[in-house]
Amino acid sequence: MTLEDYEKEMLRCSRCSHCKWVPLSQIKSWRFAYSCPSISKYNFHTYSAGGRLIMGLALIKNMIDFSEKMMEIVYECQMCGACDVSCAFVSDRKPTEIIHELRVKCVKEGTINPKLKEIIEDTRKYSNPYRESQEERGDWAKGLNIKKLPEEKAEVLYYVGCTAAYRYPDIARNTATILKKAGVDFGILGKDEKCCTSTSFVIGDEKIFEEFAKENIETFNNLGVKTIVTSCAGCYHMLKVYYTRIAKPNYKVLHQSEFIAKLIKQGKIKLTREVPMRVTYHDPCHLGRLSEPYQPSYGKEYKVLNQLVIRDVKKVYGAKGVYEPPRRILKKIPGLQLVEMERNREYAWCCGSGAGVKKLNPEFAEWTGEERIEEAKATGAEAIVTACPFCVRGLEDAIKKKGEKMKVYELNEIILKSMD
Amino acid sequence: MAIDEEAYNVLERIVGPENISKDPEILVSYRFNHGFAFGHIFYPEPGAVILPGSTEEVQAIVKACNKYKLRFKAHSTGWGLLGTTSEGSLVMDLRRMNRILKIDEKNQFAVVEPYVNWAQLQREIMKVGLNCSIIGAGAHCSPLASCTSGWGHSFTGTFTGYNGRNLLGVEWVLPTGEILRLGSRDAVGEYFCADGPGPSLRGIMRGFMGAFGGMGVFTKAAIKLSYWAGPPKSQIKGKSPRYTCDLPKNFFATAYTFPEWQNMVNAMVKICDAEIAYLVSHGGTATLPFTVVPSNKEFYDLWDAGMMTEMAKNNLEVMLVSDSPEELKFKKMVLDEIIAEEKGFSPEAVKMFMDVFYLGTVMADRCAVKFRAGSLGTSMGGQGALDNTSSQGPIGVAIKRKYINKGLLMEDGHDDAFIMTIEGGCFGYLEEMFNYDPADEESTKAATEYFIEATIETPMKHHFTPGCMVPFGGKEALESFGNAMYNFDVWQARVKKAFDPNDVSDRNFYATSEDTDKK
Repeated sequence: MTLEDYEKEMLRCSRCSHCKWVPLSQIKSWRFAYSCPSISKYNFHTYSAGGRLIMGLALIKNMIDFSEKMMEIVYECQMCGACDVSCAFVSDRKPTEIIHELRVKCVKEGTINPKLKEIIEDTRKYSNPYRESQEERGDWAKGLNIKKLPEEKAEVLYYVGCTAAYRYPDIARNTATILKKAGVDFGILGKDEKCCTSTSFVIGDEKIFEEFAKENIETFNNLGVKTIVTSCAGCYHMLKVYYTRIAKPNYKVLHQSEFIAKLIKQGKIKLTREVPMRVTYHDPCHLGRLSEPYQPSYGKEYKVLNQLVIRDVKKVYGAKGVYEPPRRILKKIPGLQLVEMERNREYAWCCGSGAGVKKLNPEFAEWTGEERIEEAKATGAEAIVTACPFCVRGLEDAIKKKGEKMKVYELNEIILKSMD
Repeated sequence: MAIDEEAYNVLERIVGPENISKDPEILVSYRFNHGFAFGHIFYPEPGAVILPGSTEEVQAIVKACNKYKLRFKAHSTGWGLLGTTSEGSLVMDLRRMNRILKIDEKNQFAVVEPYVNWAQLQREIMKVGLNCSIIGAGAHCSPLASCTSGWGHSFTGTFTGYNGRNLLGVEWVLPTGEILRLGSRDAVGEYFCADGPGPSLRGIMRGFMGAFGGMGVFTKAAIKLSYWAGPPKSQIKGKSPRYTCDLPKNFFATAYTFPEWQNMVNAMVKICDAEIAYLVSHGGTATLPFTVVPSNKEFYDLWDAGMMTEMAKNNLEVMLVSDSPEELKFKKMVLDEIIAEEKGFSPEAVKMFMDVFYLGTVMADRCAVKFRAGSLGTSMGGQGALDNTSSQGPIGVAIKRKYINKGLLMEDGHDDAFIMTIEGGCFGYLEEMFNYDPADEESTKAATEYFIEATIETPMKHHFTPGCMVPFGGKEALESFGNAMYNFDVWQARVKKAFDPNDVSDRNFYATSEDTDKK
């Protein structure tokens, strides 16, 4: 569908502003009532989901044109999906799907910020957005004696992702160590692993997404693996949700937290060592509310009861994301106390890094992360645990900027502390 | 129409460049509001949008508007009339003023800024055993706005009151830029008295319907709170979107259906007279099902099965709250007797609704759900004696039926009114709602026509007081009622002229008679 196809839906937005708040009954305090980082930071209505829909409508009605300001508004948004959760409660609308089409239009028109163009171009050129050498993609695994696919065969593919491979190799090493200790038959693609195109896709470049997705799916299908495990929530989101738009996979995609939770349940991993800490868990958006299986939100519409618009599509609400496996793991760790932030699970406040914001506007990304740190501090926790390298980065940067002492742990680091 | 450059620079110096904009991409989002009474989706383009962060900034902005003859309109959450624009004007979006300044548990009031919403306020005050009168529009709206500038009716209004009267004091930046503080704050340092010292200015400040931004800017409001016998934190269960909440043990709630509309009204009046209810209100046939299901599709499935129609016809929702089991038992006994007298009963389908009853009424978390149909419109807004208000419902239903039969408005069954009882039934409030499709030109046109017929023409014909929805009808509507009712519009215009000599505060939805000397 194109942006123009959503005209009716944009017209039907009632401008109620639910998209700015956590669903109302889930508001627990004055302080942590907001859900959308973009409107919270920039305040003008246009920076809310509803505001962006109005802008999209104005664009297709030729009331405004592409401009630098418009690009700022469109892209100063992490596409975290919090607006979808709140809007779905009161309407049959999914704002991010429409905003995505607005982004696709911006990319097609070639009007996007050069920094965002760079992400797309670098991904195409280097197969990762960090301009790193493809030859070195598997360097993190040196000395770990991990199977290299497709040369070797394994039941499980550990799809590492660009951020863990190049920026957080410890996360990749920790994951591999845990899998090895649990006796999992797994391998990696190493230098043959290519970007999932999460960021390029969210920026709105459907072309690169389709190219890479087709190639990646073909690679995965030819490996003969039963399961793909990811470290990165963004990769998980792409492989599990959006790749199914391209082709049918013959493998199952699991996030490492899901996979490890199963291993614990099967007794293959034992968490015995005490980790005396009070921690809170940050739900990555891509692992949580954005990770439900792909459903087109806007199928053919028809009217009943004269003017009631209904569609034959299944609505998604963001409540069926991967929320419990990481929590189950943390609760199994002796001595560790898990306390929840007010906005958790599908209501979680974003870490701030997603959808190219980290590169386009690091100050906004850090501001968003700082807000999350404030919420974490309010729980009395000494550390935040999360399950995504990109969230780790976002939260760490925010802590540094704020001069806080709070620590950020990627889930597997904590698991390793507790394993024999 | 662009704002004069010099004026813009002055405004920019007041709030800083990040808090003012004249970019068309920003302005356009403020132009969009469902103005079904006019067939608008996009209102005229304002000259700029400004985001003040304090009373001092608001004051400086208003003074600049007077100097440069720049019309302004302030809004809080900006839904509906409170957020519409006029050509070349200054939109004052108050969302940066978002603090709860005080919660006085002992004297039962809170002081809030414009952008606090009802849900935020309620969560904080319930912690200390207090509740507020969340308006029917929903908990995402601003308490300050409904107390000072617009409507103020709540599902729990029979116990928690009417916000036009729950207002205990304001900080008011007059259209001239002077600051006026009302309420007894200046006398004793607190806001426990609604007016004074001196004569009451409440009628001028907000009057019956509110000035909708036509009389300056309210920057702080002291709001009366009421006793809350419920838990400090509501125990919400379930996942999005199927939240449920069990009633606290000292609560009783259910919905009844009655053979005739008049039985329902009689029961409502009797329950109010008995002073037993925390909530007694009527909800529309389409309203109740919408609150139970998370999508239009599921709404239709339920509707098709006929279950909801059975439940919602001539229905009355009641909630009892008490401090002891004995008190609850007594109240329930009285209630049972009244229901029996009026031949009411609680149908089986009510159980489905009860899971969300507390959330939908006490917390008002799902009012906007009604928009799921496409878009919600509302009409009439009759306010007055409970029997008079209630009698307006069937009239609205009959008018609406013409448009439904033509297929232009959504079929909503028996009626889609809600009636709220306020202050123990001292008065009532009715809106007749309707659903239309804003993406359908014919449907939108019908919505406008229905609205005018039900809201403007019908009260004149039946000698009802003007409904709270009349300002939606614009200047002509106010003038029609003014002609019939002692030229109130002229008096209002004279008041506005005295308070706003440079005519800079918004004039879209407040009396704006050009000829204040007529008659």
